[in-house]
Amino acid sequence: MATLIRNSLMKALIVIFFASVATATSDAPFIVAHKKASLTRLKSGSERVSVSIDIYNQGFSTAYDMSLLDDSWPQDMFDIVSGNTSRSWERLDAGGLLSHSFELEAKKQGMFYGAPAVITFRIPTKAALQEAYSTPILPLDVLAERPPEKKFDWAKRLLAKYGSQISVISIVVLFIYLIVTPSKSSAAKASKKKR
Amino acid sequence: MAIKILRVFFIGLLLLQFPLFQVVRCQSEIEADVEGSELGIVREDVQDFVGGNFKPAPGVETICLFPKNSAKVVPAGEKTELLVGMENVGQSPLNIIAIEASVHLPFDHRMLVQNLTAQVFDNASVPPSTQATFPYIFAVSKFLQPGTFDLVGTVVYEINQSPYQSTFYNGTIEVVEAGGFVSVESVFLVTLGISLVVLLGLWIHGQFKRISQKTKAAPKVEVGTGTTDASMDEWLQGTAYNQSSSKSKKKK
Repeated sequence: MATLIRNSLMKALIVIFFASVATATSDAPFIVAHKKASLTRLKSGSERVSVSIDIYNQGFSTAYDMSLLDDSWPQDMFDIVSGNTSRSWERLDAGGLLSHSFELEAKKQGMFYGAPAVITFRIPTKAALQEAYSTPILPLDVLAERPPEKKFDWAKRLLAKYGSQISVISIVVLFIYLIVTPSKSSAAKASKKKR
Repeated sequence: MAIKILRVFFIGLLLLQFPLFQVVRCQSEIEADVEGSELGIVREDVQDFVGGNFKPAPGVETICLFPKNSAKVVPAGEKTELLVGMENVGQSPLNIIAIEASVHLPFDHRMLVQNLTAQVFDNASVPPSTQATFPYIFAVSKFLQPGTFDLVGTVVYEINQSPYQSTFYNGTIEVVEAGGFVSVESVFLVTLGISLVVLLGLWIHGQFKRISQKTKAAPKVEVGTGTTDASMDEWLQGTAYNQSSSKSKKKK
């Protein structure tokens, strides 16, 4: 009786093992990388590029030996100010997120078209190194000449943004104030009567 | 005087608002096709591919991700970004042509709410045995009512000059109203609520006073110096008043 149960258990395990092997191809990690670059103009006139790369694992298994390399910023156009253009991690579990950011200083003026960053990782089922590309970035207008801001542009922007809210709150507050405070004419009438 | 002040105040406020008034215009085209031209020169044959119906290629897997937005919240009228992950399991490289999407009603897929601008790519390719990610920025109409809608996103690509199309997302999105916490409606609603509560409090206070007055004894009413004591009428003895009252008594 015990041997029968053991045999059927063994068979069930073998079936499950083969089934899992057959579905192993869908069990791979799926690396989705989001690369963002933004320009900030400092008061001194120089321009800084802040690059941030978010790596998500949308697959069903862990990715090992993750390594990020962003070679799309040539040395003659950009200087690294902080951080590093490459980084590596040990693993990224399914559903996890890794972030990396660095800052560059722009040296040359002109339109810059950036290439995607490359992420390499390993999976247990394959020997070769897997590759994934991040999102490309929109063209950056580096060190562009900005027309001087006209007078009161900032005031106009603030008004457009908050004008309706400020006017509504002022209407309500003024109305409440009018109702709550006694008017001067009725106070004068009352004082006249007393006399 | 108070009415005059009120009138002047309201007329002044109306005059102040005039430059800020804007006629509501119906917009059929929601956003300009800026994204397509910004990424480079647009292919000439793109129009043949966008809008057509092609089959998905067998060696391609797609995935959709809303970065930092797992609830898939889409503010109406504002840009939302989603990432399309493509995996090329085949042997030859594939070229991405365009990513397009459309919004439908959740209960009837045939009812189209809005066709979103397609993002055209010029030089995007995925080498074999690699995964790549592409961004898709879209904005639903500013006048779309908040609620649940269906978003269908497809990516059009070609392998060896033959076009294919894959649906990377066919699920629900949550459209919410864009705008901060303080808006015209919310301020008025909050003020109305506070005033109603204050009015209720005043009414309850009045009721309390009335009830407490009833339980108190009736206050003494001052009637002046007049008293009806009979002995005080002594000084009327022998006068006409007394004689007439005694006469009337006799008559009775």
